[in-house]
Amino acid sequence: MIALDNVTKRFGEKLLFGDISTRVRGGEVACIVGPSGSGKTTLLRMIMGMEPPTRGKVLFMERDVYRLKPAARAYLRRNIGFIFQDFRLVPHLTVWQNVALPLRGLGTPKSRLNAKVAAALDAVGITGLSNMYPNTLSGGEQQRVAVARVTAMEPVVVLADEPFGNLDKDAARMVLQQILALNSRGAALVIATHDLAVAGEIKDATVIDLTPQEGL
Amino acid sequence: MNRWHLLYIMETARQNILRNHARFIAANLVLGVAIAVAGIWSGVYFSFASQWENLNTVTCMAYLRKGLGHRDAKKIMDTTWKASLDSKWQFISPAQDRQENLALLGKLAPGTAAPKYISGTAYIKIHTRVRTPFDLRTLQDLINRLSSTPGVDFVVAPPLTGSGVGLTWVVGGMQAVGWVGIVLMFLVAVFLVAVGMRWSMRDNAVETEVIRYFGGTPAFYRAPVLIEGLTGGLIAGLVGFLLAWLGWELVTGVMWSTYSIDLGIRGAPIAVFAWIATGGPVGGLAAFFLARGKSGW
Ligand SMILES: Nc1ncnc2c1ncn2[C@@H]1O[C@H](COP(=O)(O)OP(=O)(O)OP(=O)(O)O)[C@@H](O)[C@H]1O
Ligand SMILES: [Mg+2]
Repeated sequence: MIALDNVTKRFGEKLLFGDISTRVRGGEVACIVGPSGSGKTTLLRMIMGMEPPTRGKVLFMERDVYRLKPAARAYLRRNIGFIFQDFRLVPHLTVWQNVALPLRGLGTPKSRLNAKVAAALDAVGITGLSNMYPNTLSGGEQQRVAVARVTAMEPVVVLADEPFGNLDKDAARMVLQQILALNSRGAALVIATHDLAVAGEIKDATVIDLTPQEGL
Repeated sequence: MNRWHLLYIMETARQNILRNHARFIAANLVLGVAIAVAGIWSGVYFSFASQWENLNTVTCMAYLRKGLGHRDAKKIMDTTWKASLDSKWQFISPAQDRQENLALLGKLAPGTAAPKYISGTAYIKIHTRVRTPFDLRTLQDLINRLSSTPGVDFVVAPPLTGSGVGLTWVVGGMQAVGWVGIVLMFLVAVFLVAVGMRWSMRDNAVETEVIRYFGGTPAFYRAPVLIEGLTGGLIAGLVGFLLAWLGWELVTGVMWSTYSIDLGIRGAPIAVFAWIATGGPVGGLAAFFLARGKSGW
């Protein structure tokens, strides 16, 4: 599904990460680990087609992402569910509308859209929050809305950026279960986290370690 | 592109406009005024061009003192103002039919010349290339010089008072504004509209980001801002068109009632205004690209 082929990223002179190669197929999990500032978000954005590598290739469904036109890259992204580090819920839309937003963009007909949004809200257990606005929710609730938004899309790839960042252990475990549920339905999953304990809980995960090496 | 996309684009554009409506109105009003001035200005050029000859020719008459012959008069003319003014002049000989002369005089300067002065006087009819109403002050200057020319007793000229002089200010003002002013106004308007678009982009940043991550094409998230610009531009174009029309009617109304010269211009040059009004949407489009800038948005 996703292949990184010797990707290197520099900002100016500064090397962020170098020569990373890996492959994540449908149903597989990869964890990007590394301390803050090591380039986890940057690597996820690179997979999204939003941050060209300085060197190397990013393949998505066997296509070289950065050789596509911007519009074609946008179409690729419709297969990717992205969970933002800071949730990125649209403040003037209700929970229900936030979850429906990508589906509407995909042109899902109204009858199916309602059912999908309802199912996604139910899956993360926030049906009761449908008509609330994001700024009235707790961090954990917002994170679940973000997960529901991705769940409703039925993506073939899920990218999660620090999905447990501000959550306590129980909440983190619950969100992890929900994300893994998507994975068990066949989606390729990439989770970026600095929390090695959580990463350790995921079985059979490929680990992409961005921790800067000595002497580099 | 489906129905929802269309609805989303229109709704977002509408909200962008409503959110910053004061800025939207002000910026597009400046654009509208620029269009109106450009419209009137081009109208003056395009419609008056065909009538240039008429417009440029004002007839003054100088009465020469009794006893001055052709040659003396010619000398006066040559030495006094031939060098500086593009004037054609001709003698009307007293030997010509008196009635004919009177009729001519009466037509050229109604009510100004007392017929008794004509008798036995050589007078000169001068077609002067003065760009009325652009150069009324030049005309005044010419009349002054004619009057102070030795041998000239009396000068008959079109009236230069009241609204005619006021009109010089209008036209002089427009001349001063000119193309440079119009272009400047247009640029300022485009800049203001672009600033507004930047506000819209900033206000929608989170939403745009989400849409980008969920596969919205660049065309899709740019469309609302583009529509914001085009809507403003269309309104500015329409306002500019109407202002130009209104301004035209006012200016020409004053002109026709002030000058007896028939320029043969009747209605406003609607087609010219309509062409200039397309500057509205074009300005909106330019503002869109200006607002995007190098941000890669
Ligand atoms: N467009 C950019 N230009 C220059 N530097 C950048 C740019 N984007 C990111 N960086 C830098 O790259 C580094 C990695 O950023 P990134 O957000 O990928 O880190 P991260 O691993 O996600 O950190 P965190 O755990 O805090 O989220 C940071 O030092 C950041 O300042
Ligand atoms: Mg990050």
